[in-house]
Amino acid sequence: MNIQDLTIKKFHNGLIKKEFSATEAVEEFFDYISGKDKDINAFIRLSKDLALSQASAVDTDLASGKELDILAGAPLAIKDNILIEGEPTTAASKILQNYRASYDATVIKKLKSRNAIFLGKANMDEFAQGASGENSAFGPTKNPHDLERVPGGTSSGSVAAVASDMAVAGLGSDTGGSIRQPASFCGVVGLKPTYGAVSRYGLIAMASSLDQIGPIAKTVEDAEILFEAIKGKDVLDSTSVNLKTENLKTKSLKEITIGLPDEYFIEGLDKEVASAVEEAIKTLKGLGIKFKKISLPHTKYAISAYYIIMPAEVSANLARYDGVRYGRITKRESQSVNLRDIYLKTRGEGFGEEVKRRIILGTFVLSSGYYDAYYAKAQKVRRLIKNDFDKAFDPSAGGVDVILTPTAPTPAFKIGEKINDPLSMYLSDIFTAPVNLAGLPAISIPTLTNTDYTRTNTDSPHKSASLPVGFQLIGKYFHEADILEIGKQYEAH
Amino acid sequence: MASINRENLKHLTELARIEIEEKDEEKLLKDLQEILDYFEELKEVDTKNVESMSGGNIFLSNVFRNDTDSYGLYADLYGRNEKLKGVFPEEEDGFLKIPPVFFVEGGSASGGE
Repeated sequence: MNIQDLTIKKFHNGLIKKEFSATEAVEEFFDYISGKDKDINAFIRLSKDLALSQASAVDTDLASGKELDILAGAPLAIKDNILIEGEPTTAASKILQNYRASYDATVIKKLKSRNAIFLGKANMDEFAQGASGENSAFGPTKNPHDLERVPGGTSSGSVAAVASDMAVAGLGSDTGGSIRQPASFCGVVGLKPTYGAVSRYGLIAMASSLDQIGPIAKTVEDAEILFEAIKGKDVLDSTSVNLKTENLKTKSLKEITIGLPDEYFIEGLDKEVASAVEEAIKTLKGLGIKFKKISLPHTKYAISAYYIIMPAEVSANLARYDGVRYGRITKRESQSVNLRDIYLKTRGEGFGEEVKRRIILGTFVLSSGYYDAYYAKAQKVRRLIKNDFDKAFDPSAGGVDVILTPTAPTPAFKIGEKINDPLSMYLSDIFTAPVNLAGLPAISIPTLTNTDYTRTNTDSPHKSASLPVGFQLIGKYFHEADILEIGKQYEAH
Repeated sequence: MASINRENLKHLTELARIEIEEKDEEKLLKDLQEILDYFEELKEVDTKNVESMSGGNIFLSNVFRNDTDSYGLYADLYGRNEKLKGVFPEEEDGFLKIPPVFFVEGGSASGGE
C-alpha cells in the first residue's frame, strides 16, 4: 500500500481487491502519522481504539463477502469542533480541554453508517477563529509544503493531514473561508457547501448564520463522495434543507459560462496567484467553457461586514463557556468564590487572544449606541453583497452559471508574519468571506497537483513560486453539482 | 468615528465577562481601534431602503415541528444521562455541583448547590 497515492476511490479498490485489510491500513496510517506529525502537528489527538474497532468491523464485512460502501474503511481526519461520541472535543481551546462529547454530530453519524474510519481529531484555530492555523491551544500546525509557513486556517489540521497523506480525506468547517483558504495554501480540494446543505448538529457553533461543514480531499471526486454522504435535511438542525434534486442537473461544459469578477482580480493580487489562476482559466477555456467579465461591486465591503457580523454572533455563541455550563478548568477552590469572578477568570484564562478580541469586538458592535452604526449597517451591506451575486447569476439578465476567483490573495505566508497584526490576517479572507455572507456553495481546487511538492526540508530556500495556489469556483444556491463537475473535468485534463 | 479607550474597554470586558490582564490592554486597544477604523469604509455605502439580511438561509420561513417525540430524540437523550454526567467536573450523591449562584449582600453564598 502506498499511502502517498491514496484517494477514497483507490483505497476502496485496494480494499475490495484484498491488497490490504482495513486494519492493516489503519495501523500503517498510525505508524506514518507517528513520524510525520511530529513536524506538522495536524492532529490534536488520535482515536486509535475507535479507528481500530471501526476497521475490524469493515474487515468482518469484507471477509463475509458483503458489498463494501465506497467510504468503508476510508481513514479520515475530523476537525476538532465536530463531536464524535466518547471522544474529547476541544475546538483547540483550553476552555474545553476536559470536554468529552456525549453524542455524535449528524455528519459523524452519517459517516459511521457508511463505515468510514476516524483516525483522530484535527488541529484548528481556536473555536475556528483565525486564518493561519496558529491560534491553537495545542500549538500551530505547519504547512506540509514548507514547514516555515502556515497551512492556513481555520481547518488547518484536517487540510494539512490530507496534504501530507496522514489521512485520505477529512472534514472541516467554513465560516469565512476556513475550508477553502487552507485548501488553497496546502494544495488540496476543499468544498464549502450551500448554507443549509449539511446539518450542523454537533458542530461547535461559531457564527451560526455563516458556519457550514464541508469535505477536504485530494481530488474533486473524493470531495463529491464525502459531500454526498453528509448532505441533507436533519430534524436536529432547523437551518438544514432538503436539496431539490432537480436543481442539480449539470449542463454540458460547452453550455456553461463562467464569470470573472473585476473586483477579485485587483492590483495587489500576488503575482504567482494571478498567473496560476490565469493558467487554470486557460485550461478551462480549452474544455470549451465560455468566460465573461462580471462585476460584484460590493466585494470591497465584505471584510468589514463579515468582521462585524461574525464577531457579533461569536460573542453570543461563546457565552455558554462560562465556567458553569462548560469550561470548568479546575475544581472550584472555595465555596465562597463569587460567580461573577468565576465567569471573568474562566473566560479570561480559558480563551486565547484572538477569541477574546472577537468576543469583545462583537460585544462592542452589538452594544447600545453602536448597534445601528455597525451591526445593523453590516446586515444591510450583507444584503447588497448577496444581491450582487443574485444579479450575476440571474439567467433573465444574461447571468453566468458559475463564478471563478482566486481562493486567497497570496500563497501560504510565513509563521508569525501576521499573527500580531489582526487586520492583515483578516484580509486573508477577502475572496472567501463574501461567499459565506451570501450563503453560496464554493470549492477551492489546486491549480497544480499535490505531487509536484515533495519538499519539506526547512533548510532550503523557499520561493512562493513553488507553493500551492488554489482557484475558487462559486456556484448558485444548491448547485454544488455544477462546481464539482467543472472541477472533475479540470482535474481529468 | 468610534473610538475605544481604556474606560469603554473596561465596560466591554465587563459585559463580555472576560478578564483582560492590564499588560494586554494596550495591544488590545490598538488592535480594536485599527479594526474599527477599517470599518469606516462602510459609511460610503448607501443602504437607504435596503432590507437587512439577518441569517444565512435563503428560504426565509420558520421551521416548526409538533411538540412530540416523533423522532425519538428524547429517548436518545434520556439514555445519555450517565454520559452527560461524565462530562461534568463535580458530582455528589447523584447531583451535579455548580458554584453558588445567589449571594446575600455582605454575607456568604446561599443556595446554588
